[in-house]
Amino acid sequence: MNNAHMNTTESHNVLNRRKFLQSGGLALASAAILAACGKNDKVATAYPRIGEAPTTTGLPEGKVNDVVLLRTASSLEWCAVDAYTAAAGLGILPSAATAVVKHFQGDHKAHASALSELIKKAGGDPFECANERINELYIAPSIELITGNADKGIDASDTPVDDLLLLAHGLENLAAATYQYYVSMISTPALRGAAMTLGQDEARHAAVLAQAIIPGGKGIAPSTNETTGKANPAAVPGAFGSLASISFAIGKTSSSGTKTQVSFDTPSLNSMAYEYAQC
Amino acid sequence: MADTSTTAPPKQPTAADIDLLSFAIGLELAMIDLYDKNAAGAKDEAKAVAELFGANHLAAAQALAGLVARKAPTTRNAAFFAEHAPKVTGDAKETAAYMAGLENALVATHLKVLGSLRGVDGANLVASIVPTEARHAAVLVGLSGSSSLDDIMALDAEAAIDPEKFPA
Repeated sequence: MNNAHMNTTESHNVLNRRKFLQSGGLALASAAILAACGKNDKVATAYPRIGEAPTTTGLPEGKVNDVVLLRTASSLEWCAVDAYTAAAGLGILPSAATAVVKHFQGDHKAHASALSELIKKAGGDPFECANERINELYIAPSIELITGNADKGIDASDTPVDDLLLLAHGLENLAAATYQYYVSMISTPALRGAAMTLGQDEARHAAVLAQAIIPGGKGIAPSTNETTGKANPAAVPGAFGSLASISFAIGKTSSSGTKTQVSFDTPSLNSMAYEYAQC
Repeated sequence: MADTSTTAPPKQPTAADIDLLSFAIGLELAMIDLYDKNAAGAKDEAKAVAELFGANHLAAAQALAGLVARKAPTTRNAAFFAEHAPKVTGDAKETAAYMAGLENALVATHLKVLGSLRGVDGANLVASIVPTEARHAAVLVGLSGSSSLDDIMALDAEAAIDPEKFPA
């Protein structure tokens, strides 16, 4: 009985080993066939394959240092110069506003020049052109909202002069906030002071434009638009310089009485003028 | 490739920073009192502006004191106040012009301080105060009756307040 039982168990085990070897052999054979198919390069490369990508060249490493921050600030100054050129070129600004535009444009050119000197002293190469990403993301779409673009189905603004002032105000606030924000990243105290010397100029520009948008006492302190519930431009919007997003509404007024909301943020890692970037 | 970053700057104010920030606090406290005096003798828009700007200087002084902590001065810069208080009176336009000059002097001083501060926290705070006081100056130039952009943009680095003349 015991032997019989043992034999039965043994034969059962033998069968199991046999089954295992058989299935293992099948797997090896399958792998060999698949490998053989894979080696047939002529067939495989004749068709597009998932996961096949062209060779790429990686971007150089973008290191954020004082020079890069100053180059980025310079690129923003050139954005402002170009934006004022575009605004003046529309030919719709009243003469008083045109004089302001001309003065501020001159200030931004002077800032860019001062930054180029600072960059050279810090051992870098000046960046003397506008920031493409800021232009693409913020300025060009804003100008389109004001002038309209038939190809894109964008109607021209019904209040173009007001909108241009709002855009200029937004850009000046963006420039002021950028200098203020970069102070936290600039490592050299003297460069921080130099940066904010330019930044406080932008704040003054913004104050003048806020007064042009809402003249007199009503345009000095923070206030809220009773219709939209949003903050009005203010010459002195708070006790401290703000680093929050800069929002304003421009473009054609919709049937519901609203305009397109635009929001600007200070240039971050994806919009900096790294040392490898060229104009 | 240029690399101007060598050692990360300290976060907290250094001992030298504390002295600079304390000087700034004394000036801010003096400006609060100067605007109080201005507001007391002003009406309507001029009064509202004096109150708003005084409140902004109070916020600046409080924030700076929070950073400096126990060593923060609690009294205004006496010499600075004594020098300027007699001139903050009378005609609204003249007072606005005078206060614009003081705001510009504070901006120039803060920029000088900023250029010397080692700690990032102090630098960030001073950098956030500078634009507001520059805006004060711009508005006050307008209230003084001038619409000249050259006047509004005028900032004289030489106008920075001398700690030797007005000790903290």
